[in-house]
Amino acid sequence: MHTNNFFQPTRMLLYFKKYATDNLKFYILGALATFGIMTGIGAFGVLVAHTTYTSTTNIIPFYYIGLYLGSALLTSRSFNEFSSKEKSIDFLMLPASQFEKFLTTFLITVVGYFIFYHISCFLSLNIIEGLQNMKYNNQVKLVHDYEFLSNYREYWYYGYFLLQAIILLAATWFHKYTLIKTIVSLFVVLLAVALVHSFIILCLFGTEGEMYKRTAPFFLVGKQIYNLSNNSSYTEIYIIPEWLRNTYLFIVKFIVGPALLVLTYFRLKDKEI
Amino acid sequence: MINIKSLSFSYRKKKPLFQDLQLSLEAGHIYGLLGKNGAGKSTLLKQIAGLLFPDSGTCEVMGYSSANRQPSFLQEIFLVPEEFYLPKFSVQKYVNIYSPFYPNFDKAAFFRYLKEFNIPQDQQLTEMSYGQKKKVLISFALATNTKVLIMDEPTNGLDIPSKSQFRKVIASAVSDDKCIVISTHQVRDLDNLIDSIVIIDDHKIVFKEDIQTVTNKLSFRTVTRLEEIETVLFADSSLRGHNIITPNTGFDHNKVDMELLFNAVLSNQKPIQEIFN
Repeated sequence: MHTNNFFQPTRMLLYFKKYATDNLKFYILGALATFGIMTGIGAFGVLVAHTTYTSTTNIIPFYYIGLYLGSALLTSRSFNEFSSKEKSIDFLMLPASQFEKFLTTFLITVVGYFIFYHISCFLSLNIIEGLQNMKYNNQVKLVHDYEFLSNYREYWYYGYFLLQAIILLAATWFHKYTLIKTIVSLFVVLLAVALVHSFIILCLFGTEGEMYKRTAPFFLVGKQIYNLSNNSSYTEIYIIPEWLRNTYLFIVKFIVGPALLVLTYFRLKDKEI
Repeated sequence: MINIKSLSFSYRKKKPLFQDLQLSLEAGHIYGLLGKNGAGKSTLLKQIAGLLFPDSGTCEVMGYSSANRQPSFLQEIFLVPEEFYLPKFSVQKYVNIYSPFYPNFDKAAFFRYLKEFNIPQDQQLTEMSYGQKKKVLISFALATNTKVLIMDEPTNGLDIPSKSQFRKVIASAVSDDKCIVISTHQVRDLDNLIDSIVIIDDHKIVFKEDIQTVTNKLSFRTVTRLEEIETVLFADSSLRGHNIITPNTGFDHNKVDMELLFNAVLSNQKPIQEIFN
């Protein structure tokens, strides 16, 4: 029988089962901890601190913190097989394609956590609401306004997938303390971009208006204007045109994340021990 | 079955481990890969398994470029590494999870091998000793019925009875369509098991012959007085006398002393190679 060496659903399921079984204990503990912390904080607020929750928007910061922090911790554990030679051999020699191995990791960490987190949030919210109703005899109502999904707040979700893609890629490089190393690397990369940009601005405009000090790389520069007559100053902002801003936005929303995932796949494919 | 052509590889620049290495291994044989520490035995096995990529040259196994690690290649090759990982499963669960990846896996054979090794089937893998775990992995490797089976120092960590059990189990699993490569520095562990010897030294394969050819061309003996022997290719003195290798001119077929042969090839390469060319 011809074997598809890129993707075969049955083989993918076998690998998914193997991967999930390998990490089952960690996932159960992680899920319980996430759900427990979310519900615990909310319940503590209602029962002990006498907090009243009147709208889901009130508790949205906790939601975003849990979404980002939990997923970052989980995804940073991806490909930790490479932390030891023995596990690397087991991982690389298992007869499943690199794409199936990558896709399994992606589905469990990025997609799986996203789904689990929302189910967990929904349950926590209902428990907290129930406790609140019980304590205040239904006099305080929690309004499910879901305002957090409006007013450009969908960018939190683009950010979520972008961050996941970055951590997944970093996980193919760093096999221990992945999250810390990723944050440091990200900081170094951003700093380098900012410095290069400032240097370019310095070369182009010199110290005029101290523009090199006020830049958002490839997006805007601020020119400091001094008014000597009344000894005041203000910053004149030069921003890129809208079509370029939209292009940037499109790239960040739809290109960077998938491109990083493709890069992760090829990194995995080229992995040696 | 395994074709390595002009393979060059180095872990560090200017320190090549292999240079223009050529090797061809056929099905139906058990090859013993011998070499000094650091000669590159494990590295060569990893090249064959696709865990390392050549700097130049090719490494093809069953027509596949091993570096691609395609599933159809991986389901026909099994590597028993010297240091290995086994998950926190019971033996039964391990088989249930891992065996479906190997289309020719023989469950009955796996439990037969375990029985041969005296391994309890209901035990957790993590509760086993290193030697027991190794025996589980060897049993699993053999039961996969892959066309290529690679073992890196498989007898390390095995007790004395287990070493003979190992030989017995391997011998029972060999077939005409399988190629088994065993790397070791404990050559005596492979006595009566391997049918071909491959010696790696100084970045290349310096010796590759089957046991039959070796016995046809070389004679291994122990003598008390070295001076009475005309052509001694290699001698190793001990309390019992001198273990020697001489050209086999009388067509006598004695047992190959692999340790002696290994030392002879490394220390007196040219005259031995001339005999085989």
